[in-house]
Amino acid sequence: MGGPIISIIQLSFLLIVLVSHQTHGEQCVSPKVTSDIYTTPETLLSTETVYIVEFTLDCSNKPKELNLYAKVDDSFIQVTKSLDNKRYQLSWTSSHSQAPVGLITVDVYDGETYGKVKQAVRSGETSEYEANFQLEFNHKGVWKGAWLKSELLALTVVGLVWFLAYRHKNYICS
Amino acid sequence: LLVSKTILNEYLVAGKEITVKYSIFNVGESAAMEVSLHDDGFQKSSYDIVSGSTKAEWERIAPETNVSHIVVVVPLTAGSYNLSYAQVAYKANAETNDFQHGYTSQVGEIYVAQRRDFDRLFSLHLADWLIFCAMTMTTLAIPYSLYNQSRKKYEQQDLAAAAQKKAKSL
Repeated sequence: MGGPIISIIQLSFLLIVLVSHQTHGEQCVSPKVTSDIYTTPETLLSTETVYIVEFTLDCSNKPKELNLYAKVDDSFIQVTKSLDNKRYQLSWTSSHSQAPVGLITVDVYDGETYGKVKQAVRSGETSEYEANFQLEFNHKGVWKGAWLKSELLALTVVGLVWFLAYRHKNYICS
Repeated sequence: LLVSKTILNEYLVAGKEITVKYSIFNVGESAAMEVSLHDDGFQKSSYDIVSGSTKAEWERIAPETNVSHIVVVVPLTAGSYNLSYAQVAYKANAETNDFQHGYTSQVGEIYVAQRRDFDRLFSLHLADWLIFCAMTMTTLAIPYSLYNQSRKKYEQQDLAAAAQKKAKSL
């Protein structure tokens, strides 16, 4: 009597697991990350501060289709995949005045964890799920140009030399 | 999907980075699946790719959401360039197997300035000012040293005369 009922429950559970995988992708176990970073060095080269993190990810379970989501400024950004699925790219922009400077840490979630986090947020619960791995890099800030123009400095030096010479001339003539 | 391709630079200079941003907006009611972006506009003979990839893929873009992708390139020489559109392919929903193809907006013709023109406007010119100071030093230093020599000579004579006068008075 319990056989068909148990098998229906097991089948339903299996379907739920498969559907959740289909929606958000597989899981990454024991991630190892190698990354290359680019951030905007000066304001003349870009109207916004740009952050680009390119990384390769090595998971011990070798997932075939892995979707990643990064948490940046309290919102989630989908991580871009290269067409051969070997390299990922996380990129975003921020205005120069509000761009974070110094050590920046970005939490990255695989598809399964991201799904659980979104479900928790939708049901109004506090998400207790930790990121699968973190990307850390340093942004020195953008160079906004010299705070003292060389022309102004040269003018100041010329003025100083003239003043000293004029004062000395007055001293001699007095 | 609406896809735009824009440049974030104020100035385009040979040898300096150009930041290209692609923004994909899903204005439809269903999720776009297997979205791929491909830009062939940056040939190796004209550009170096500093960061980012000109080929990108997203598994799914939910309805009424957007994603962005950034590439940073360096033009190798100055002159006119045509930044044309990139290509986008996607499935309109999860049920279909047919891909739809589209194009991003195009930036059009851009003019990349020479590095020396950019430096003339924005560099610190420290070397130029140091050379100028060295050149002006000759017109200042030579008269000053002549004045200094005659001043010391005059002061020595003055001191000697004062010493003689003091000796006589004693």
